[in-house]
Amino acid sequence: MYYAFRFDIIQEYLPLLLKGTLLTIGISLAAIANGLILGLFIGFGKMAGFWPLRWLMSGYINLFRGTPLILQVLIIHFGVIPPILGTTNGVVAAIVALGLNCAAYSAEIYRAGIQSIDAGQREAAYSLGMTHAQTLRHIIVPQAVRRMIPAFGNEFIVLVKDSSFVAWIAVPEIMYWANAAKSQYYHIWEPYLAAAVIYFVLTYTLSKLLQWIERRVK
Amino acid sequence: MEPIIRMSGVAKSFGKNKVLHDINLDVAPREVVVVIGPSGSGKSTMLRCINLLERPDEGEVVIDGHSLMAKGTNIADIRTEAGMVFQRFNLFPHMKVVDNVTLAQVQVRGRRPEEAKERAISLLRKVGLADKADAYPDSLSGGQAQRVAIARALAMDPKIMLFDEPTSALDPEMVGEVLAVMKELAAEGMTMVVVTHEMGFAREVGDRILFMESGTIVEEGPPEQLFERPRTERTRLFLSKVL
Ligand SMILES: Nc1ncnc2c1ncn2[C@@H]1O[C@H](COP(=O)(O)OP(=O)(O)OP(=O)(O)O)[C@@H](O)[C@H]1O
Ligand SMILES: [Mg+2]
Repeated sequence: MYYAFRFDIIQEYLPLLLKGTLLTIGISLAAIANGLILGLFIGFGKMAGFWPLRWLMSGYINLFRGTPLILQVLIIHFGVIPPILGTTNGVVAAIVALGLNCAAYSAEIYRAGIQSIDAGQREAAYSLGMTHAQTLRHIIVPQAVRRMIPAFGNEFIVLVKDSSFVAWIAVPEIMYWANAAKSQYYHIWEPYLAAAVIYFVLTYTLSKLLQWIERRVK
Repeated sequence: MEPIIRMSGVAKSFGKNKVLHDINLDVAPREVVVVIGPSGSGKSTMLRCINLLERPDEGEVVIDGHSLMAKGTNIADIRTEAGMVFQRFNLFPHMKVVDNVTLAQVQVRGRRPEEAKERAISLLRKVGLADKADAYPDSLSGGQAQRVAIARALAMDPKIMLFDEPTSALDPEMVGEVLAVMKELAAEGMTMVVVTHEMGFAREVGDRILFMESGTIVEEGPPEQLFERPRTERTRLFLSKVL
């Protein structure tokens, strides 16, 4: 069967798709920044001696890992942001939802990284008279960070791809414009292939960047 | 003479497993005490109670006149006075050898970095590894790594040194180089508590041998007596297996 591939559709939507790409990048970076910082507190909270804190942080992590991201996006967009801002705001909802979700996964990466360091390292530092804080700062964290980088790389790549869910709340990012082109022309291949290429370029660049960082810290 | 280490009535359990029963031990300054006994008898746990890597459930540990269990005792300060050498070295793999030996001097002792580095290099020279200062730990042989670990502990100028099977993870040909460093330390008058299976070392360097079994000190005495004329059947049985 012959399929008339219409490059003109891509041509027409290219400026919009590229604007969408900038938004995807912006939302992803903001969500990652939020997720990394919030995740740090959640991860350490989950390792705390104080059990109610541990329990609370586990609850947070389980909640965000155990429910679909699209549901989190919709609930935050329609249920959480309007009472706070007085109006819906897709970009804010997108950053908050992706950031909170990223925090849950990041918290587990921090925890696993810290706990993967052999107990002997901590004991050696203590036996030299180092305090808990000095041991974390000079011995545990520098080693743990190296081990966390690949896991964070995966998480960031997943986040960039999953940011496409926010097209559902009409945030004009890549997926939103691909959907728009499809609806206007009833053509599947042109808009979605274009979107696929853009996502691939983004995630491939990101993975190369992370590989480079990984090599640098070794 | 006042003991530099005094353990009295120390008991320790892990869950329901009582690992130490009423341990009483005085170690005099400059004394070398060697601890022997079967696996699981509580040797490591006893050693780790001396610098509070394990906290005794009962009893008291006094180091150089400071009670470890008393409220207000700064545990980190006491640990600085008790260097520890581990079976598996536990060097910091992300730091060069010289930085392994320098870090705690700066962080804990508050020495200037240049001063600490000078001290580190001189200790590395003492253990025969000055040329490895800029190497990373994973490029060292086991024997070299353990000598660095000894230098790292000595850099804090501890009053006592604790050794937990320092040669058990080494290939046989590397045991000698580590024992040689330990012998030198003993000859310089360092107070040492050494858990080891090296009976030759125990006999030659130990001032006193402790035989532990099932969480108690079954018998103790000078090496000639404990090795040649053990008083208890359990000691005799253990020695017949390891000698
Ligand atoms: N952190 C821990 N948690 C639970 N049980 C422990 C722990 N450390 C030691 N034990 C148990 O305490 C007992 C004594 O252990 P310890 O390591 O002191 O013996 P050891 O004499 O040093 O033996 P080895 O010669 O094998 O090193 C063992 O039964 C061991 O399983
Ligand atoms: Mg042991």
